[in-house]
Amino acid sequence: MLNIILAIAIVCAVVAAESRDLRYSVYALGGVGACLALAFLVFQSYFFAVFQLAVVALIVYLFIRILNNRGIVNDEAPHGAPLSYVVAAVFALLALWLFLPALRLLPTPQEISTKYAETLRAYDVFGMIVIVAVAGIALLSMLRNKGQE
Amino acid sequence: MYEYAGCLILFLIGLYTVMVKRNIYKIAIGILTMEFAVDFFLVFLGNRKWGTALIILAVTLIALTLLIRAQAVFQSLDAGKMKELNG
Amino acid sequence: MTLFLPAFIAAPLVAALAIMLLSWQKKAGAAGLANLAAAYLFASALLLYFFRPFNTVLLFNLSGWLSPGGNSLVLDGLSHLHLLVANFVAWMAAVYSIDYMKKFANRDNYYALLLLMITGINGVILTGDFFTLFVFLEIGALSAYALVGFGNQRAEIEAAFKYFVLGEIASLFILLGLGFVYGLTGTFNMAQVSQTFPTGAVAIKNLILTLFVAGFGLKAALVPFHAWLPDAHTSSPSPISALLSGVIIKTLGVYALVRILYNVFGVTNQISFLLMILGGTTVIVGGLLSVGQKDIKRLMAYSSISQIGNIVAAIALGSPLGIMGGLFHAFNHALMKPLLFLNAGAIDRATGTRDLRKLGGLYSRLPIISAASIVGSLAISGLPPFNGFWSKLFIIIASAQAGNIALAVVVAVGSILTLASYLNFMKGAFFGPAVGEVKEATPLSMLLPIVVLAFLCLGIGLFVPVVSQYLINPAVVSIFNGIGYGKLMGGN
Repeated sequence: MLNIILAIAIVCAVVAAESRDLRYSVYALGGVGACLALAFLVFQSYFFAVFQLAVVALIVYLFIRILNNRGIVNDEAPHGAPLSYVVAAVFALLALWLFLPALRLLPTPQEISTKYAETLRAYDVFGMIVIVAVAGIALLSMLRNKGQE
Repeated sequence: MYEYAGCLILFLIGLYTVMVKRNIYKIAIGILTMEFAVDFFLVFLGNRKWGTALIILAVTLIALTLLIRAQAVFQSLDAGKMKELNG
Repeated sequence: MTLFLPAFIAAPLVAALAIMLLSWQKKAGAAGLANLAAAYLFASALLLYFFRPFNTVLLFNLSGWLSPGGNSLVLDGLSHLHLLVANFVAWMAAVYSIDYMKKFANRDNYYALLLLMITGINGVILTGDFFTLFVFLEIGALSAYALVGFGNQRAEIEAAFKYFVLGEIASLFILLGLGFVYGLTGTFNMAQVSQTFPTGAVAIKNLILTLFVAGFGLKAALVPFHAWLPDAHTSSPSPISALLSGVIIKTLGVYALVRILYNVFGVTNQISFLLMILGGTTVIVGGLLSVGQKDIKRLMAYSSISQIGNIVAAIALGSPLGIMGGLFHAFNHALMKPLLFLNAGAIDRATGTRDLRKLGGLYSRLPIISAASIVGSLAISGLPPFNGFWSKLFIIIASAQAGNIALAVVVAVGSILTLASYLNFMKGAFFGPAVGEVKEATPLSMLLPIVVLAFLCLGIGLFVPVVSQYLINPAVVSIFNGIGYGKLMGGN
């Protein structure tokens, strides 16, 4: 089940990367996020599935709103420099070669819920709220800024 | 094991997007893809319940702020054009 | 007295909240509140030196409903050193900002972001838990991106965007590494991880450590991950450049890496070797790139990269003298580089330019700033009797003692390159025929931090034995303790 969700997410990610129309890219990104919410459902964390979905919906909404406001539709420069493709390919192959053996050592998701105690930490949630606050203040500082006087 | 490999592939797709694409919106989307990939990884590993949903939200906000300002200041969405400072 | 520890995180957070509330109510007082908070933080860091018995560890445990798994704040020799110097530099930057930032709009946001950045820094220094480390790392990094882009013009936005993209990739590498750690040990608590990490899994351990080196190495601006630093440190407001170069790359980069490598995992030979190679390369690349620079701040930014190389390579040597040299250099650089950046800001403010080709003969017109800049330049180039001389000497001697002549030569060459860059700086700005005009006098709030830092560079150079016994050696002991750190914490 999880594999299917991941496969859908991977397809969405490729669409997000390669799509010429930026709005489809954003929707595809939303698809990836939705897959994450589905994964939460598989683990039976219903509240967090809904929460994740809400956050993803907000992100997609913000992106689309900004794209529409500026009348941006298409990615005008879809092809990067050839060198960057080469570097990315080398990097990807290296990463796969290095990581795949290591992945075998990790306990499978099915084992996890029985092996490790679930940890919900108010401390971390608090920290994450602070992070969002930082982003908010950053937004205020840059978007309502008249620059140097 | 395949689930983790899937996360890794998702992460690499995001990294590819950031390294290769020149449109700054695509670059931001690439970073977010990577964030989602690591989120999948963490969730598979330990039911990290909040995942990193709020962190993704914060990163999105900052990314969007920078994108808006970048477009206003550079009049272009091409990362290749943002070469004002060299080095 | 352990109750002091959460205050380092709570105080700047509350102050930032207060500033935003004041700003919402359109009341003034942001600068004053920020300075008060920064002064309080430094004072508590200093006082703790008297409260914490020598070579012990202060542990503050959050338990119960707040964190069922056990979350702790840890203060040992290494964190205390960084806590002290980070909060001191932050306070100096806050004082400097009082007048420097008068030319910017949205000052309240600036002070709030500054305090949030300090929260992130203190959190990273004090935490004993991996996920909390990540959370505070993000807090510090996100506020840093915002502060770099604060001026909101072309250069600032470009620098902020580059820093954002590269910095987030680094954070993600770190989070990925965290995930592996959790998958293998079931806990995020650093002490528990060090005790429960499977000992036979060398390959995967090297893999995880490589992820961390890549992620934290980018935050610390090691070559080849340094691309974001020159732009970010040049385009940000000068007090922020001072904090970025003097504190952030050392705390969010080097300190975190050292803590994880030495205290949690126990560094392996391969990783040591990797760090030495990266460090050495960084020294040379940073030095070479800083020599030809005409923009004062860019010159200093590249020089920061070079010094970080020194620090990392020295610590990677692994010998007591090497670690001491590296930590001492980190401590010194945290004082020298902000001194230089604050001076650069003052020069920019007074003459309207940062370009060495348009400056000259400032010695007679800006005597205090010129003298302080000369002190900073001589200190960072490693000339006696300033503090930089001693730390570089220790590093070179340690390399030679460890049989690593190549590294000793690299550090020496790096010093020569540094000297060359700063000679350019001094010649171009202070000596020679008078060029350009001084538009306004430098306010006191900008001069005070500069003078204090300059005196410290001299004083520490003169009193090295005292400094090294009380400040540096406890830190060396913590690193040397290695995985014993975990047993010290007692697990949880």
